Amino acid sequence: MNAPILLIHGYLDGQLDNQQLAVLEAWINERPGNAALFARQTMLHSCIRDKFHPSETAYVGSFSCDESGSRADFLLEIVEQERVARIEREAAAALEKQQQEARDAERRESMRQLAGLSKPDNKPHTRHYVIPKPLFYGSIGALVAVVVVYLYSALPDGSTVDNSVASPVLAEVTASNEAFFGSGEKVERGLSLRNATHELSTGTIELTFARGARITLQAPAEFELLSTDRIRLKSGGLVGAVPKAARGFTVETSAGQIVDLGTRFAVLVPEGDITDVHVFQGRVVTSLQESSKTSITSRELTPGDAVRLDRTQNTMNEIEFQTRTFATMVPSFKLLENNLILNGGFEADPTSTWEDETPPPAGPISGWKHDSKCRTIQYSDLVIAPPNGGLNYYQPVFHGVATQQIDLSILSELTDDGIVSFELSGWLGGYKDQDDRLQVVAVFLDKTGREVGRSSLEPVTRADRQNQTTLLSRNIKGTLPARTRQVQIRLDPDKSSGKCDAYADNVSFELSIERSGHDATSD
Amino acid sequence: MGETTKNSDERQRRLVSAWTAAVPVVTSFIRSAVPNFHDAEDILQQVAEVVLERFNEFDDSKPFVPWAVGIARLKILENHRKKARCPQMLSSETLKKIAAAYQDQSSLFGPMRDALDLCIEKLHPRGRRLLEMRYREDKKPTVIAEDTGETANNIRVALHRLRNILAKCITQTLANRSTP
Repeated sequence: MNAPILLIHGYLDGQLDNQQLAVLEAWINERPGNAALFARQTMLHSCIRDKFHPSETAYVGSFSCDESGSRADFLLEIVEQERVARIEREAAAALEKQQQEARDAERRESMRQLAGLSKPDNKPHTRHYVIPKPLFYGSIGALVAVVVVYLYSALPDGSTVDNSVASPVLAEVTASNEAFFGSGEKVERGLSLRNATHELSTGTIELTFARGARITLQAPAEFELLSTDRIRLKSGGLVGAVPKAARGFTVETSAGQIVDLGTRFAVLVPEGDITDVHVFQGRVVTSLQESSKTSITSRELTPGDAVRLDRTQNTMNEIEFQTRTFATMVPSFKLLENNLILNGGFEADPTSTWEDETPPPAGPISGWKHDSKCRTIQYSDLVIAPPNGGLNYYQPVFHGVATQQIDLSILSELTDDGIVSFELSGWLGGYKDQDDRLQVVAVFLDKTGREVGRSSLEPVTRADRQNQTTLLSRNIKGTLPARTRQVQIRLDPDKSSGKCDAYADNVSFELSIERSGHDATSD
Repeated sequence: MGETTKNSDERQRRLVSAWTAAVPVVTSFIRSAVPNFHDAEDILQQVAEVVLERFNEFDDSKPFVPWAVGIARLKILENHRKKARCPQMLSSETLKKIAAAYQDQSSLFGPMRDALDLCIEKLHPRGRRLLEMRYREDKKPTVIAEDTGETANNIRVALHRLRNILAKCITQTLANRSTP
């Protein structure tokens, strides 16, 4: 591969070794025409890249026609930030001047008093400054805006760019919960962060980057903001929610990097050279930086995937996918991998066994909405209890119905992406050769309460029980229908009149992220 | 609105206009020194910030693109210094020559981009697919080779030929346009 053009193409594809690179450099430096040819080849390379990434080429033509975070927009954002900063600086300077004048006046007054030029005032001394309203609000902004990009600062005339003068704001704290930096500084909402390393010692914070990515970090964590779409996580954990406009957001760790393609994901760095990645929605590309090589191993992850990058071992292995671990950072995850039915085991209320063929009376059942025709009963020799059946089971009386409504609206984004799966389960049974049955139904409702779907457990018949008085396990899995915002769990007897000798126990409704190749980010 | 503010806003409008026109060339120059597209994007943003910071120093009587390319060169060197052990890094001397070439040829970029649209349309679907894998999916030849069952060398050669075909087509298209 020594022909110059081949070398240029090899270079652009990242395929040259050091020797070939040296040959290419020598050729470029040989004469200006060679550098010009190199420039034209790289222009072509760049044009092709832009051709296949039209969303990044919105700088062509009018910059006002694109709202997807183009390069021109990026500059416009900075211009707007600068404009606001300038107004705030002017306001702050005016305020400072006014305060200085007031301080000077006060000092002069004190000097006069000390010199006996006027009588001391016995009343508490109160200073009043009249600050025009716009100036006041401007000054508040200025104080907060250690923040805003200071763009008109003069830079040295030398050939290097001095970043220490003022680095731009990369992200803002948009939520903070009992959060403090290692320095003891409280992390307030509205705080702007620049290119620097931060140690979060307690609490949880949400950062919103200039390009729209939202990153939640939980203490203890050490991180460095690298740009408006790049963060380095040195230790601790984060959860990212990246909108389409911010696709390409990258998390760097010592083990590799995670490039987001418009999604929700979590990154944990439990140790220096180990990184765990869990994907909840959309896709990410995870790359392992191998320790002894310059090469990297990459893999695309989809919802339900989880991998561990180990740079010491040079491995990228699948690990158990988790969501509950991140529930403190993502409140909606509290609804996942957890039985959402209250008192599904019917153990919360005191009750008794059958006595002389008389059951305990119908009565309130904690967690359930029901009429007076339901009860819980303590297991006795009459009923073969299921494993982990506890003390009690449930029985409707006549046509009594018990219901429970669960709010799932917090999961709306994931639900509408079709990646939340449910599992409805329970133990159902009946009495000897009687064929009374109980329906356990999950009715999925939209935000107005309209049904968008339902799912039910297969009833247990007397044949299934082989005419024994016992309960058998049933379960069904599925995907939450789009627009589901709540679910109603119903325990329905299948007969509308007469005594119903059907039973239920350990009724459960659990949600989880569906493991699939579903592309939540497709247009 | 005060006179100072009005002047400042006018200057900002000119800055945005100049920058919008310069971004494709500056991007291309950065990519010539930093083949990783994501890293190049980061540097572009850093350049945008510096351009804005130093725009007051810019002499309006001179062309904007060479000035922006000069800033990009300094930013690239700064990033190279931070990543001292990164492979595929051009020396500062080489970079200076390439920057000069870009400053001389920046006017080629727009016509080249326009012609490319036509030329890509003319490619065989397999050729387009290969370009998609390399440029849309950001796959290196070795990865494309794994995906397609070809050897990495075959992929490198195929990409090389495709770029040559496109370069010839662009040259021809531009020549035809300039012919009365």
